[in-house]
Amino acid sequence: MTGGQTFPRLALRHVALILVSIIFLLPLLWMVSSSLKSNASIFTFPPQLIPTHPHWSNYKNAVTYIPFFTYLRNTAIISVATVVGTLFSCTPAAYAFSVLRWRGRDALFYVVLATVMIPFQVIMIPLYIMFRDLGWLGTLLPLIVPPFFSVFISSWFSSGLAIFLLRQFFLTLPRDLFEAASIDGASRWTSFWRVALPLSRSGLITVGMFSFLSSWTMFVAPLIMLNKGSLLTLSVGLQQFQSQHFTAWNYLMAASFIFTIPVLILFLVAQRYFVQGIALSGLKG
Amino acid sequence: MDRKGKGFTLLFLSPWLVGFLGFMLLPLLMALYWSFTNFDVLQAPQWVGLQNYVAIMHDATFWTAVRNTLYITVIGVPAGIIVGLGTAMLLEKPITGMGFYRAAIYLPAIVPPVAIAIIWLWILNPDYGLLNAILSVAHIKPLGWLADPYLAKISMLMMVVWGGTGQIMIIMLAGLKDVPMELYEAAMIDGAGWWKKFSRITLPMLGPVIFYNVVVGVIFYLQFFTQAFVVTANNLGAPVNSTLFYALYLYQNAFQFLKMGYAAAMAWILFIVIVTITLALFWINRKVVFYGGGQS
Repeated sequence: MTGGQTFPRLALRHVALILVSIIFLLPLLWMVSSSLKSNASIFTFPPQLIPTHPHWSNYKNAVTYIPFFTYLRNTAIISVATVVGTLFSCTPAAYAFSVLRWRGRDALFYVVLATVMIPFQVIMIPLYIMFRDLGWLGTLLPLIVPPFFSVFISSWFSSGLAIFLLRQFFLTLPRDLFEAASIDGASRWTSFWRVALPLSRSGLITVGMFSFLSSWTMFVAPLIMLNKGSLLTLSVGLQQFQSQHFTAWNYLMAASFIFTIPVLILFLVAQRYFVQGIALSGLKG
Repeated sequence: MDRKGKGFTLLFLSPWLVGFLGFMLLPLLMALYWSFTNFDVLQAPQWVGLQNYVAIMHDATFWTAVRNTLYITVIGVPAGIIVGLGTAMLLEKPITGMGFYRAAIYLPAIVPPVAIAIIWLWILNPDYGLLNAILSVAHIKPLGWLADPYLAKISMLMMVVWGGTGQIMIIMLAGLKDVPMELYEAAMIDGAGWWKKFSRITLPMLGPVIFYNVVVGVIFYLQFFTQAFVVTANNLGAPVNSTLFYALYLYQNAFQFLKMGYAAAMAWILFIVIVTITLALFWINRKVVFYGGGQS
């Protein structure tokens, strides 16, 4: 299908799209290419686009240069906890804000939306002190517990947005469905667990993925809350490749690539949900 | 509603409610209180009234950070929207390889911000970087991308727009699909050219989508932190405070200078500014933006 366009116009679009794709892909390819260069060939100018002798051993060196697997484990624990916690706390809330009927519902929903405006900078200092007083600072708890109470911090995905998205999915379910269920004697819990949830699977997947992506990549919260070397996440730990005088760029690129691979795979496997979720968050506002 | 129903609703709301009260509202109020105190974490806060706010108003570094932040916001938000809309329009009509193109442009959007900063730090390297290598083909002398105060801001914007376009593009694409075909057909019959169709149909119909991206973009840039922190990790805000953004200076005050009261005051100023700008944008939106029939 060409949408009935003339040939020169179509060719022009292809040329433009290829150029744009190169601009967006080149930095990523450059990361992979640099990660395979030897210590000597990484510091040459002009640089080689494709290394003649790929140094696969860089990957082995990168993961031993810093305690990579410790950081990987911490990042994975926090991310899994964030996904579970977000779904646990935001799904029932979204259900209450869409299917259930109660007084003050819509007013309180505005409060949910308004929380998106709270900058992390405002609450980070009190949270830091609170977690210190609770004795959580030497542990991963400051990043594991809040998602279970619909609080997590990243620059682009928040619990407000998670509740909003899930609510959008619940709102598309036909009202009759719940009425039919309650006539059949289904309890409130059954309506939620057996009717609403299975029908909102794609919404749950979308929100789960977004919370995974945002916690895997988040930076500020772990930077402040995880003040012990063995607790760092990859986001924060990667800084150790850089020192005042020298940066092992090839190792750093290798480590950055490994760090990116899980989200790359997630995206390639579940592109559909990403696109759907992003479009939904931007359109129905 | 009956009693049982109320209990059920409350049960479903409770995790959110506890989190909202305990991890959001309470910290918000604590920060407000500390903003009127002298607080270095180790000793109990001491009430000093408006002293922090007065000191902030007279702090030249604070105003530098404000200027830097406004600068990237004012350039970054429109730049992101223009690139996002442009790429979306290239992909609007079906084309062979559509899936590949879309994935290629979207891919940077999922790369962790820290990795983005690291990749660009290497691309912008003055001696061995890719960008200077490409420029040298056009006989342009190597530039100190992160050493020059002006270029350093441009560098930040490059990496953020590169990483942020995918998100905006997807939203724009969805918005473009909602523009009724009949409008274009009618314009065609009237003999309207490309620009006329774009400015009279596409842009107004995309109003709500563009508005959403402006709000999200402004909130993002006012809190911009990660890339700036990673790029200048050894010397925050370098060169000569040209990349010292608001959130970076706030972090410094709180966790490097241990001036928690001062930082809390800065945080509350940021909060009020964000709320004010968002409400103002919503107000402008109501006056200017056209909402089509289908939307609420």
